[in-house]
Amino acid sequence: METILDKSWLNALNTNGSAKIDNDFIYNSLQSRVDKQKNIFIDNSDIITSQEFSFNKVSEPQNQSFFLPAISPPYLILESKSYFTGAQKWIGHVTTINEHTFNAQLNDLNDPTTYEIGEFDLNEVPPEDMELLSVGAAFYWSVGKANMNGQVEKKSLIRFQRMKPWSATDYDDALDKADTLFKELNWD
Amino acid sequence: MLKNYLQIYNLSIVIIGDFNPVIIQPFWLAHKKLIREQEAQTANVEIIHQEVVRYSLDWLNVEITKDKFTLSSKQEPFFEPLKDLVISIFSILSETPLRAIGLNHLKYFSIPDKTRHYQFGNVLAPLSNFKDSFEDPRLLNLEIIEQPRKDIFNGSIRTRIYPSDLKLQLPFGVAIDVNDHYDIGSEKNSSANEMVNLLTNQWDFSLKKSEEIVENIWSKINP
Repeated sequence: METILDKSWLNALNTNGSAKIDNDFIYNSLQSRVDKQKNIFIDNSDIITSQEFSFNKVSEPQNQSFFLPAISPPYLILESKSYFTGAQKWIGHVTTINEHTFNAQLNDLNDPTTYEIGEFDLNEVPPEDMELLSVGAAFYWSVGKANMNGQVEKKSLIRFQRMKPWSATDYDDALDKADTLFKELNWD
Repeated sequence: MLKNYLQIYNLSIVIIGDFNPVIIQPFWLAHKKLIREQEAQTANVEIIHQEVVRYSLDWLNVEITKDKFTLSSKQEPFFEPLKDLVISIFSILSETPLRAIGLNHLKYFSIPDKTRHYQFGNVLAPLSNFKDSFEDPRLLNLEIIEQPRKDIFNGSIRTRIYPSDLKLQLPFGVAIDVNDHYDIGSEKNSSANEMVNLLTNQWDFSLKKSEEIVENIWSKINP
């Protein structure tokens, strides 16, 4: 009973001063709700229009059906004003983890000729990447200037690599490939 | 080097195939641990529908329809994570039939002065050829294609050069768009695996090729 008690019912109680809720009152109240629902017209004209989509406007209840959004204009890849260009990038592999720091072997992604060793503070690792931190884990380290909505910022970013975990089949495939390579080696 | 004038670099990985867009939602990516959970929570979702999915993270734009999958970023530190994400998605959805993949390198440059900006068009398509018909001819769009490719893959490499319509640091903007396109699907039942291998192996080549094309163009204009 509580769930269908609405304002009109409360008004009936208040104006009459006593609870005069008979079957007719309940029927009329429910009927008015049904009529109200029937008259709700679907008008999607203001849904995601700011996102460059437009829906066909439906003005009659009997014509209610979903129309695919027409995507126009074409997807604007540069609509965001933030970009990061000319970064110096390394891929690192964690070698040791200490109490407050970790060490890594760094390979320059722009010029992968040699490697360097680096030490990083643990507090530079994003909290959600901490679970990925382990010896051997790969991460990307980038240093450069970012333009964030017109403001140029110097940035140093660390992001641990996220890949689909290897399955037993992946390991088997890798072992098979290694076997094949080994057999093809010609020792002089 | 022209890369010294690089302002914006947008890298898109576009895959043609048959997709079920609604699968690849932010929380599905987070559930598979391919993005951070916080990134999924703060994703800017524009639409998720069975026909089209479109959203963005801080560093990533995603648009997937029934036949086209596009992931892009214009933040260079995230280009490798972008590649990892595509590889991981199709390692998981390994039954997805795919037909082609394109690595699109769209680069916007601010040319330092008006003279070299004019020379960009004049050297690539000598404007004196048009002086009989036009008083002040300018190059608006130039597209070069190599098809078939000269390596072992099916596909093409295409470059388009045009004036930039973006407001850059300097008014003399030029855009160079390199489309490194591969047709896939020769292995009938494992086109996703083929794409994963191709993307893994061709990634470095594609980045270097786009840089080489840009610098070679610049060397002609600024010898």
